[in-house]
Amino acid sequence: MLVIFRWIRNQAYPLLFALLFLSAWSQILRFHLYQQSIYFNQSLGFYRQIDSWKSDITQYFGLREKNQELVYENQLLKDQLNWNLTDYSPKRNDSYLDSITNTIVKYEYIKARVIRSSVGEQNNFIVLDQGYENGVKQHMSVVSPMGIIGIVVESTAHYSLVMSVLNSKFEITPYFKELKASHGVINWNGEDPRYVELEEVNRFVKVKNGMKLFTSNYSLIFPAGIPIGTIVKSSSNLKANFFTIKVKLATDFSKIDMVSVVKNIQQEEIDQLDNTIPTKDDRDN
Amino acid sequence: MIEIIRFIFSGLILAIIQTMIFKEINLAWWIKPMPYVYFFFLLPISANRFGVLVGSFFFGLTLDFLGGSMGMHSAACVSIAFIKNAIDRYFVNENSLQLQGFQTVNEQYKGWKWYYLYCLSIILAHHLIFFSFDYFRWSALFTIISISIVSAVSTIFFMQIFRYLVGKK
Repeated sequence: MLVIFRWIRNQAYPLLFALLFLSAWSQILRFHLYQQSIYFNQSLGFYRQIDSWKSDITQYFGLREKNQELVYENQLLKDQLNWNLTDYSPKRNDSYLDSITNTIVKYEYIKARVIRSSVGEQNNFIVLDQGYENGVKQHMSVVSPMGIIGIVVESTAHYSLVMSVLNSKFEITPYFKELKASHGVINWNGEDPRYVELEEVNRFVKVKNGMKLFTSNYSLIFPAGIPIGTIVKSSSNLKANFFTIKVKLATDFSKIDMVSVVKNIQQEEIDQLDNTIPTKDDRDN
Repeated sequence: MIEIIRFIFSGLILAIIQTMIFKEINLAWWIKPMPYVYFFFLLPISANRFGVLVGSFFFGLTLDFLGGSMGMHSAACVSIAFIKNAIDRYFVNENSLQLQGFQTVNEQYKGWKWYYLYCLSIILAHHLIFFSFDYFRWSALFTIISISIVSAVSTIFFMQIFRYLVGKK
């Protein structure tokens, strides 16, 4: 300790210079947009370089899991083929026709890479490397090979911000494949990033552990049939009318890398219909 | 004490002159005279170096506040106060300067040629630091160097006008 103090006393002049210079430097970076942008772009490029080296090495370790994910995704896509396509209507020429099955495609998928994600906060967000120049807009849903990811809340020219399922404001109604019905609301309690809570499911619904949950066809944002998770624990008591259900998420949010942003081609039509619904305020007037 | 107040006062006046006059007149985009560097030549050679360092930081801060260029002048002034020690040690022998009865470096000590070399090295160092913060990219290196040399010459010119206006008593 004494050595440190003596060193500081001997080097006081250069240290004072360094302190004053750093404060001037921080002012420059804070108040001058041009210098700031150059500095942060350079440092960002540096970090990106290191990140790419790191991913070059680490991607080999994940190959087996990636393979399994791909197999799973293929399986899922085969299952979904009937969900995803609406009926063929020969009268409409302007519709987007799939050349193989000759049916109208309802959803388009935009591939994106996750460049920042968090799981440790109360409201977690994900940043994708695709923006409105690539067609990503607000209120589009984001899915991964394993399951749902979240909803796009903001998009700039080349990047977009996604509110993930691990966010206190995120809510979705799941579809029980075994029961062929939609019940309850899923949200996150902010604790374990692997589990979410399913609430408001009536006590008389026959919920079992191991049931798989999917996105329902009621959702205007998510396409139907995307996996959400599996029920691991359900409990109810006689006093409460609702179950308390713990759901293990299908997506591992700490490992997400490549995701798809889902674009509903007929979103404008749905929005038009939505606007014609009289809201409560309209009725009061 | 009265000395310190005099330095603060002259620093303020120099800062005001710099921001009100020399920042506003556009001679050319490649001539940016900054004669406020005269402040560093006013300081006696035996002044407390910690005081000079802190003082020059606040001098630069004043310039930044008045001119709206947050941090640039402070960084350049602090650096020049630091570098000036080494330059002084190279050019000036403190004992012989004091034996001749001078407090500050002037041309009577070792002649005009020597004095201008001394001024130019300090001013050039200051301008190089300032303009590298201003341009802040490697591709402008040639611009930074050339603009520093031209501006340093103009700074010395305006500094001499200051000296004739103020220095003669």
